[in-house]
Amino acid sequence: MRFLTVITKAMPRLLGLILAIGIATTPFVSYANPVPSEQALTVAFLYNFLKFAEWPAATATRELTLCVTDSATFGDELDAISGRPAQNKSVRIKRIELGKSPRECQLLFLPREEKPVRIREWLRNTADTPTLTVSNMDEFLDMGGMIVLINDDERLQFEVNLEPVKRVGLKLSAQLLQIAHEVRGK
Amino acid sequence: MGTKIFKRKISIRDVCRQILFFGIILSGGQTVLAQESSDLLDLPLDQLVNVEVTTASRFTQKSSEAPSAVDVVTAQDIRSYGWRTLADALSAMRGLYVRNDRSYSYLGTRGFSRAGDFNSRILIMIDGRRMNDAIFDGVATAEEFLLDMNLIDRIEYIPGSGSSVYGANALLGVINVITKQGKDFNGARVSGEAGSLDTYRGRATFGKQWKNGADLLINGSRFFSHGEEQLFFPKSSSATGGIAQDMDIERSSRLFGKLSYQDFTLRTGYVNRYKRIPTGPITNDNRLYNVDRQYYVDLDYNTQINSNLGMEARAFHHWYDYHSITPYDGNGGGAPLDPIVNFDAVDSRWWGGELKLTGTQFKSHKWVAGVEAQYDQHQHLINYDINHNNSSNNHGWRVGVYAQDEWRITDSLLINVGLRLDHHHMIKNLQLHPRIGLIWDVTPTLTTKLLYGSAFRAPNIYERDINIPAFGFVKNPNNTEELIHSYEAIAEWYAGNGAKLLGTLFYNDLKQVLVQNTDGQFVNSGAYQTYGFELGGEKRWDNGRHLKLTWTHNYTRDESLNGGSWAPDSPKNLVKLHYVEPLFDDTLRLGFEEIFVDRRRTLGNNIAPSYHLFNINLAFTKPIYGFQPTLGIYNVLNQNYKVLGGPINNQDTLAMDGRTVRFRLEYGF
Repeated sequence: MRFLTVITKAMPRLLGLILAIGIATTPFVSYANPVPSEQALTVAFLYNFLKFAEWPAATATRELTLCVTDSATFGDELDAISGRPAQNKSVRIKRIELGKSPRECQLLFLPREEKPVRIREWLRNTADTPTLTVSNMDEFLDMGGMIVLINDDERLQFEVNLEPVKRVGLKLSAQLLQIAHEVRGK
Repeated sequence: MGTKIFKRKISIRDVCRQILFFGIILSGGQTVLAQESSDLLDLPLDQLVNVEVTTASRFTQKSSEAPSAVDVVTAQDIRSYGWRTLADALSAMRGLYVRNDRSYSYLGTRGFSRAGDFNSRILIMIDGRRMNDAIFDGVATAEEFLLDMNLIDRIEYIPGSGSSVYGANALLGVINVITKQGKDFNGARVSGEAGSLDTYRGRATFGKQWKNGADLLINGSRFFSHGEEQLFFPKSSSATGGIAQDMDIERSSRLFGKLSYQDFTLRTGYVNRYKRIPTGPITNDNRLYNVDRQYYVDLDYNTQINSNLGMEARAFHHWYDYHSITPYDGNGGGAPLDPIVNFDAVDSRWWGGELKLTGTQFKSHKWVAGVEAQYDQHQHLINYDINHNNSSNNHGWRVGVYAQDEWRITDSLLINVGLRLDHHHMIKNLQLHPRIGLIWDVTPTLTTKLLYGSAFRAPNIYERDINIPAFGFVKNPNNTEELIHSYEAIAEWYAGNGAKLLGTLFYNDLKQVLVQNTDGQFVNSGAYQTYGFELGGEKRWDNGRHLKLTWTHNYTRDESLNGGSWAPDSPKNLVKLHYVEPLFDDTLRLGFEEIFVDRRRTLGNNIAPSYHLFNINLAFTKPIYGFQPTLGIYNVLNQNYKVLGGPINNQDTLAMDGRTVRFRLEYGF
């Protein structure tokens, strides 16, 4: 009986010890080279696009504005590039809603969580403005978008459609086009 | 009895100590870790395309694409409006209303509420895990709920039949309470709370995310409220004068822990609530109390096999028990008083698992398929007094298989079809329930939805086996499932600038509803039809201002009442107004809440008058020198409002608390 009491008393402590040892010895293999999330990598790509695009001189601004429509899945990651330099300018992040003018956006990112009808509406709204449109929605180039990011389950690649890029007077550096997985409308 | 409680306290302390130890071990590991999220930004483009990426799901669903008119409140709203319990937050949501009989809080949905049930017609989940217990098939929503309000990230209410995915109990809607993560706290916090009616709460929270992504959240709290010193129940036994002295006392203790690492999340929660019951057969006998205890552990593995296939597997174990001491008058109110003490208890245990797959392989399709099994291992009812000794012991399996597909026919037209097959040990027939939703984006900002769904609820053990003739309960082994067919049309307009307008039209047809007959048996003789509409508008400003107004109008017909008549506890109108004004550059937020509940028919065929509840809350949005104070005033106008008494309360209506004040001070370090 007394033995039983001792055992019962020691039980939670024993359990905790086992748990703690278990955790302490768990090999945390992935520290050295952590695999970044798709979001973090997407933001890194967006930052690079800002570096390698050229906007018409008439629309020169002091800052480079990156607009995003659905910030829900991208909040913290985007804030990481806010204020960083690109082409001697500082990057500004702006959340924008459908119906608002995209005129001040140098780059507009449309996440695939947006509905197709809304993406089409955004593309209509930016058809005449020098705004670089980027999305990670598979059919984005067919819809008339400029750059699409494609996750092939291992890496993030991007494809470019130059036709709308040229139409609004934007230029993309040769280096960027060289790295692109596919370039349409050369 | 006393020693038993003492022992339990010790063991909780031990568990806390162990968890703390466990936390220290974890924190020791952090120096080894390094993550290069900012290094990623310095990589040249030609290297970026070679960086290995974690697989991300393409399976996301926006509320505007969901086959329902979803209503959501967030952690920010909880802070701004000062909601003290889940019940407070739910009564602020579109179409919901809460009745409290000073022992539990009961939820009404769109004009339907059955006084006498324990929230068994709505499914309540924590992070997607079903919380309805295995006895009453219900969920406690006030101090007896598992979570403290500071742990809640958001609450989603999905009105309508949800059996096509969730199985039993998702008759009138599904409520999913989503918890925060350790990183949302990033440190330790303690908070103390004091309020009117001698109400106190102490709470401690620790949350942290380590560089390797491991995230830990631990929270514990204790609550005490003396409640109203004296309550008067005019209808109660003349032998005791109908006065309940010091009978509103309530105590609760809670523990919650959550640990996530990579694809695994382990959650565990415990709540123990003691409540004295002032509405008993002998109002001033302070032996009358209820104790409800609940515990669960849920291990969740959520992974993305590739970007088009996601898998979630989880295993869970729950227990719930309750006991109550009820002294009643053996002479039935006649002199002299003959108190007999009755002991009522339940004890239950259930465990099981779930497997869910989500896929986006096929162009324009998003599918979900899953299987869920729960073994009700132990469903035990006990009741005895000097005259009777009844007990029942039951067990059995619940298994469900389901599939759902969301098919985007064109860019603007979506069809959502779901189907679930259920075996439930309480009923003989297999249950097959569909849901079909047609979702059409008329314009990029206007979405319309047409929905149909059916759902079921099996009788619970309480309705099947309870047998206390002295209190008017007789068992019925032959009762069977309740059914609902629901139809709804919805229009949602995302007007821009954070504004959203919504309108719904709905029709619910409930059949075979379990109601107590004059013999005291639960029989499937109820039938209710509800039709109504809702209008709502909400706007969130960037500076923190928030405005939300919802109106639910409905009529519920109880087919078995006078050959078809207005159902009891069914307010025809619910109007809710919420407004937050940020002050001093959003240092402070002033929240106003007004809830109007229309008059209701009582079980005694009288009218409970309509009421306005007006609450004000003033909260600091950020700590000042580490301290974050909040002040809430509830029922500011000191309205003497009444809710319906249930069949066990002896009273046709019950008066609720007048104006109360609560002050909370939180300290973070």
